[in-house]
Amino acid sequence: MIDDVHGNLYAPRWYPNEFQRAMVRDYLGRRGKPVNQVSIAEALCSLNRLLIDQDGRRTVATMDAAGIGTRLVMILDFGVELGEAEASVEQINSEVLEICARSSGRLVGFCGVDPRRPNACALVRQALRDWGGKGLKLHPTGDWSLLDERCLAVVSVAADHGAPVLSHLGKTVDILSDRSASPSDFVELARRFPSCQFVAGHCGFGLWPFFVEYADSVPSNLWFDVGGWQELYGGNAVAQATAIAQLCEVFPGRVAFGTDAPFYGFNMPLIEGRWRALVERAVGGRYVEWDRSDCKLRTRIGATYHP
Amino acid sequence: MSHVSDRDEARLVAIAEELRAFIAIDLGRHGVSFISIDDDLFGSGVLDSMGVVEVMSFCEARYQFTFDLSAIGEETFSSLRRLAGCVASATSHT
Repeated sequence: MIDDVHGNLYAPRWYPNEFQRAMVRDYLGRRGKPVNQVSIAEALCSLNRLLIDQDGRRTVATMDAAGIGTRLVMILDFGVELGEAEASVEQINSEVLEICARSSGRLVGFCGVDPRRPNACALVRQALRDWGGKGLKLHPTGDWSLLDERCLAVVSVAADHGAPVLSHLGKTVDILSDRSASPSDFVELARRFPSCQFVAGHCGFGLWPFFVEYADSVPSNLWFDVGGWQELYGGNAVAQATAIAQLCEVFPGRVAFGTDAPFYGFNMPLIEGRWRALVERAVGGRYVEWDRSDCKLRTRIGATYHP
Repeated sequence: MSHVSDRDEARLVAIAEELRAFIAIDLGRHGVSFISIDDDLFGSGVLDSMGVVEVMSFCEARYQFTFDLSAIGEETFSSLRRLAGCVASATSHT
């Protein structure tokens, strides 16, 4: 089965209220629906029914049915920017990483922390050393940059542990900013830590042509995932597959399947399975796998997962 | 027997047409007006992932039942007829 390099777990206590409301506004906007107090409340209710998974069981069941092997689970820390979630950042990391650690290898947790937190480095160290974290997730959509010294410090901790780093790149919800989530900063970050694996989250969504245009400057330790592309190009499957194939041509074996689950697949095997099948066809026999033995991404060539 | 089957078929078609109207008007997928009740909703480009969620929410609100999310498969949304059949089956006690 193919591995999903970019997923999440969702429960309201792990996300600030402001983020939840922004997520719903984004959903309504994508559907061209009116955005008001009533529609937000109603949509939040119906989305929560689909998205919530507090122990990982629903996620793994969906993966089983959709033909997905391992999923890298990203922890998101929006507390500094949007106000703290019900759970503290320490609780969010320890709880989600514990769920992943108990999943028999199906879920692999990437800790997440806003580098502006005074204890950010200590938290990353603890997550990687004690809580079973296997990588670091960055979400540079607040008032900080990927090349900020505080960010470099937390990435250093990950690099010292040999842990890969995945960063959100490109568009985000309306209360956050994509100003610092740029491919160019991420390329520079990857160049500064050549021994560390980096994953360009979502390939930057609509910014993905940057990587193709400046391919010569993209270091070999930089990988890509297409999580969240399910609605790119208005959901046009042909356009999506063409773009993925273009990326694969320039970066063979470094373009990974991703879902950004549950935010685009809604924990529904029907939807995730269709996306999995599209990406499998588009990558043309070069898959990205999570190697459990050394906790690194690797390329698998020539295998067909679903003949 | 055939009398009952005719009635069931009529109900199924009525549900399918309500679904067609919802998809065309509320989802803005006007292409649904030009497909048959048996055509593939995905293959014809009428539905995408969010469309599935919208249609599901509509069905639950309109027909007062709850989908078993784990049982929703490719075939459930494969055509207006199949989707209407799921709704009819889920609400057959009413």
